[in-house]
Amino acid sequence: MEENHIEEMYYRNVDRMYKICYLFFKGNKSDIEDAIQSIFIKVMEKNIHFENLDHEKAWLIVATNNYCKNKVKHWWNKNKELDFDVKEEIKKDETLEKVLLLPDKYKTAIYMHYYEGYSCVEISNILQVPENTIYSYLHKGRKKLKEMIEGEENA
Amino acid sequence: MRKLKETIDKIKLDDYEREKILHRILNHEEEKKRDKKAFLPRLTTFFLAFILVTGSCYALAKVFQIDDKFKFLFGKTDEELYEYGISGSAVSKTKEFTDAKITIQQTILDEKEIYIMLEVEGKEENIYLEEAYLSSGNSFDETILNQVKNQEEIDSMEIHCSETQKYGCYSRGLAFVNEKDRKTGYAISISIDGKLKEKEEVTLRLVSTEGKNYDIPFTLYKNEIKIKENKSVQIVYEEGDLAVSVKEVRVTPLHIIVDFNYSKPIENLSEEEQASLFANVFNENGTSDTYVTYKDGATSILRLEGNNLSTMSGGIGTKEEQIKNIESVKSVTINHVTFTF
Repeated sequence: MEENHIEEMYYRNVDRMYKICYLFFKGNKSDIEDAIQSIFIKVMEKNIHFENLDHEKAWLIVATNNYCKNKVKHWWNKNKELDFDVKEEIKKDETLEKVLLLPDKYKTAIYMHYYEGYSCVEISNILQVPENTIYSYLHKGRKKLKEMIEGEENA
Repeated sequence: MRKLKETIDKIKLDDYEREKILHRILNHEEEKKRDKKAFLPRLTTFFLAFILVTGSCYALAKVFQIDDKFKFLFGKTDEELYEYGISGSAVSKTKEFTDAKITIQQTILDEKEIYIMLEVEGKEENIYLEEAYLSSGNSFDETILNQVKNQEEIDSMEIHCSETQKYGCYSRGLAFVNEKDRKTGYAISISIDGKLKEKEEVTLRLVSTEGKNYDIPFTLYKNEIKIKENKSVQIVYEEGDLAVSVKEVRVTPLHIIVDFNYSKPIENLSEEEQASLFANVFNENGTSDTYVTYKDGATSILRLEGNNLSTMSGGIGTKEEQIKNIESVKSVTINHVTFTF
């Protein structure tokens, strides 16, 4: 795969991938960088051909989601403390702090629906998860977020 | 949720970081190219090391009266079900709740999972299910169930079956929604890990997306087990020296499950080995080494769960589309080794 082609693909998608990684890795920049690099390296090594830009976008979202889920499964990632600087940065935005605390399984569905504007059917097709599960992830994610925000207000 | 969008919008990569990652990617590509040249002789050897060790096929089956709805779901005739080795028991147990009527129509079993066909009819509005658990006896041990539920990552195949014959198992399911009559048909699978007795009183707990529990006790009969196909293959990944052997390939009514043996525990794999496995598992276009091939040439993502690689052969779509998919699964290819069903 040619270098300029990779660069174009990189600039088209890196911001999106960064946001997804950020949600999973709670802002840890070295983990985020590793994730993005690994995914692009795989694209290059496998010389993956995308049918169109939508396919490219969906594939990279799935790959990023899978990479992150795979990584955070490990105990050392589950228990890893946030870097001090990152923690401070997150605490500046309370909503972001809450979003990062959501269970991992809800994060991508919420990101894709509320940020990328995908419908539940589209998310279900991209992530290969039953449509009802997506509805449920969104419902539960919203509910948890609301509980966290209300819990803090009542405290 | 506008606030949420604004929040996500704030997550930004600065220009320096953006260029830094690109630099890392492009430099890594150069290193990889050099590595690959040196790696070629080994690569050739590894390709030659693809050895088909044994192949055996079992079709142990005893067909009971399979409910017509199951036949319809799986798109199979009695004879074809016999070939699949499907056994089952009709249940037809209906229980009324304040807001729903739930009917367990049929169960079928293989050695690791139970498949349950049921229908949920909401009285006022549609009821959607999210989870299902199975317990032996007429009640749940709430302590065990809570332990299962409180796991942060209770994705589809993480199962907890204790020695005390209480099961709390997450389900995977296919839902067939009919918005007009508020009836939703479900085909769910629950891992039982071979722990059921020949005949057992069990309780099925269904949990709606709203978090409401619906407990339905019924009698479960264990019948003959089937394995559609079982082949052992020794393969070596071309990207490293991680040996992966395929222990078993099974085709169940809802899934294709491939059990692997890795030459070292998955948690001990290096990052590169993990990435290699990961890419092989999740690539979904034709260039991937690992994919499920359908009749029409389309491919589907396989999922890696522990040592199991599985895919739902039904998946997403209308009932008719799912039946078409199940019927059309003909082969699974793993790193150039094809299992034909």
